Amino acid sequence: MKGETKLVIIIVVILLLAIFFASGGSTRTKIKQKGSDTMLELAQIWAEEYVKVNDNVTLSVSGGGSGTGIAQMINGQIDIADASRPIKEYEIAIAQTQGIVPVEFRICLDGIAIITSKNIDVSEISFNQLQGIYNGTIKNWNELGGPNLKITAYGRQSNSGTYVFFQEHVLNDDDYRTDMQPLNGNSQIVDAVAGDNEGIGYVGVAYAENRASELNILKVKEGENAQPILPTIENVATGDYPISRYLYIYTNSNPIGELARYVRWILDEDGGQKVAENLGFIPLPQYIIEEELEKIS
Amino acid sequence: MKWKTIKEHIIYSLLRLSGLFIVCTLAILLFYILSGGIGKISWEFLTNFPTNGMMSGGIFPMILGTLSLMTLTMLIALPLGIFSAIYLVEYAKPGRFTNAIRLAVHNLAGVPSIVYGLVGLGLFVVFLGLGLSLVSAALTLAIMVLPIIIASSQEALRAVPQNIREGALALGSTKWETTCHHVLPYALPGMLTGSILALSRAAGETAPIIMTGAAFYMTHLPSSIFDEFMALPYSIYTLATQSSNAEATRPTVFGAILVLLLIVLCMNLVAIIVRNYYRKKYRW
Amino acid sequence: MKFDLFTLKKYDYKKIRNLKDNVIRKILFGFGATAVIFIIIILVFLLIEGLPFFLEGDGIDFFTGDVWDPSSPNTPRYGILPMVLGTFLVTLGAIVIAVPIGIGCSIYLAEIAHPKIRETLKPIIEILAGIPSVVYGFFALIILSTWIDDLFNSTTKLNALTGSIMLAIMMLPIIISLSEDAIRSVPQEMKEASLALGLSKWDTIRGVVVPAALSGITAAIILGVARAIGETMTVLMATGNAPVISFDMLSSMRTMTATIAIEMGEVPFGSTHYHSLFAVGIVLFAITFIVNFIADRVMKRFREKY
Repeated sequence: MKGETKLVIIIVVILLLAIFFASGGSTRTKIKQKGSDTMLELAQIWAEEYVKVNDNVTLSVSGGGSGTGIAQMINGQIDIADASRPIKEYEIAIAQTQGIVPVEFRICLDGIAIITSKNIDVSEISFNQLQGIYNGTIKNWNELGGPNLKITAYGRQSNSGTYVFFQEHVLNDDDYRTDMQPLNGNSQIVDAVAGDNEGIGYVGVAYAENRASELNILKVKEGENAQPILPTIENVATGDYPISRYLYIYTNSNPIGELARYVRWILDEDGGQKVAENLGFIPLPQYIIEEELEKIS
Repeated sequence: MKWKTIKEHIIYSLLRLSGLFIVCTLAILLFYILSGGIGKISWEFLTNFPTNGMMSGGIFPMILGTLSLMTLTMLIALPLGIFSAIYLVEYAKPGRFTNAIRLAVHNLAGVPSIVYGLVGLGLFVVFLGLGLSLVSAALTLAIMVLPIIIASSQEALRAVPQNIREGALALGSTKWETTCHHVLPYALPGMLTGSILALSRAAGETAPIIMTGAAFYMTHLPSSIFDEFMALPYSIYTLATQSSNAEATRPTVFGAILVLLLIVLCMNLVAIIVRNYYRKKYRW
Repeated sequence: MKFDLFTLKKYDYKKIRNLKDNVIRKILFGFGATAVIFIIIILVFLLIEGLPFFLEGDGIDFFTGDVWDPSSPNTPRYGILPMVLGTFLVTLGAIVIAVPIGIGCSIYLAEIAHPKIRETLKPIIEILAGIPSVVYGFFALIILSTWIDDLFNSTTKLNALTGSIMLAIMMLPIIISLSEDAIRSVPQEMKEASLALGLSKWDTIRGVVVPAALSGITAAIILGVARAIGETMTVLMATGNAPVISFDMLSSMRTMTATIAIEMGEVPFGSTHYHSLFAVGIVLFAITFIVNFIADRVMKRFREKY
């Protein structure tokens, strides 16, 4: 038994090690990409599509949240950080102490849709009302002209760029209400809101559009007298829809070599931008693409 | 008198119910997982990379990653654990230090898996500079399963009757010769069982590998043990909570769960068979 | 002459063997100490990274504050109480479910069940023990939560109850197998004496067997509790993760383990938030250490009895 087991183990180990080195990966340039969960599928399909046009690189993609990506880039562990919010001052400061220079690239536009379940007959909401709901001052749907139901607010967790973006732009840096339900990802918020007849949530436009039949997507008006706008692709692209943002990637210093090629492809309208469009994000206007391309030496 | 019998019957029924509860739980779990995943299992699924945003294609790199992780973990943990156990059972003298070791093993087993993730990140990834890699994750998992291997190896060694050792020593063997040639051969099957169970535990753990090297998607297989890797538990977790199109990726998740369960269950089965076989063979 | 030569040769050979034995003994001692070394490494690491929090942040608020909001741009708060409560309630719920079923099942297996049933049931329990936590978490997320939502019409389907039920199922194998061992190691003579005195089987179980096995059963429960406290993935996916203080089992709660898992990836190295997560880790470690210590003591008494 002892001899046979040893033999089996040796065979298994050899097999596994052989498979490793057979992949020929050691000659390829490695690019590690991590960060925003809003961008996770985008980054994954980018990777999938890019290696079809360039076989000299091997890419690895993970999520964890914008904060995670930026933190790991600052720690020098990854090459590209995906972020659904801009890098913060204190993150730049820490980066400098580690000798890292974060370079920001806008890579597409995203709208944040405000969703509720189908039974809430409110069709539009103003910034003030949204702020009131999410900082806890508005507690009941009837304050917005809806049914007499307690509002259950869903949101993201603190490691999410969407969470941070919403806090900065909608809440004006106010604190979220303490009973907000922090969920792990966009799809979880959609699940929760679709099934909760008192719920409200904020998700990336693409996620809402995918499940539009189960949700009530609210029109948003910036001021009390403004025009309420629906979060469609066109409205976000023209800037009419008030809750929209850029999505970013960060690299350490200006990218060179294979990394630069990859970033160029991401900004290319037939490359990464097309992928973003297929996923429901808004590709960058040409003049912004050119601004970003300047950053690559 | 009659009331007492009735009462006892009721109690017995309740007790039987608790047994039934266990069976039902497993049945329900298996039912949902099988019904969700069996449609996905095919040769393509098992041997291809995921494509199309994880909605189609296969889970080959995750399977490979999990298997490699298990192998590497075992290579590290097995010698450490077995020799630890040998020391503790055969050589250690009762005393404060031995008690400390026992307490340490017990506590290692109780440390939450997320704390292992933290320590793995800080110690192997950052401090030792191994980076996010297969080897960092394997080292972390090795410490995690160490108590299991030590505990089961200890039991296996203790099950060997004392007179075998005494006989060997009486005939002039040294302690090491006794242990190596007389005790170990009989204890090895039990140690094997414990190791297989530890292995199945390592295969299913998620929290320690998230922070030490698991990636959601890689375009190619890892090129060495110092590279990131894909693994079944992490992919299951991420797809279940992050996917933008949960409906479309759900079959992949179920398929991955099914494969993971098959791996884990196969190993448990092998461990049980080995244990039963040798239990019958060595009837002291 | 020959005899002398013969003795000399044998003596040298013995010296080498003894030397080898001693060296191996020292090496094995090193191996034996690895467990201690690792646990010390873990503890030291937690302390090194966690203690700075108490120097930078508000240590008193950590233990008494009821708000956990480290990423607030205005006033970051590091109160651990919501998570301690979350861990406590979810574990309590799991205990309430798992202990009666677990002990009942172990009694059933040890005393009442037909051997054939035992042989089928025990592997099933081992299989349940081997299922990875992420699978349980997934089941709770997708299926169990919907059932609870249908049954109780709760506001959130990811809540403490979902987490408790799932944790209970994970605790059961530990409780059942260890309790069953304890019950089975009660000497046959005690049971026979009781029956001989006229007590019924159930009276024997209730009055003689279970009390005799009590320390083993207690140890089993305590170990199960330790497992529940330290569980990460299942509670991460099942409990909703709202860091608020609430006693409503149907509301979302966050455990200490989930907090570390959620926030660890995002914190910049060296920030106060980073250190606070290690501080939570220290608290977790301390709690599981104490629980394991108690279980160890109880187990020791149990082993010594028979």
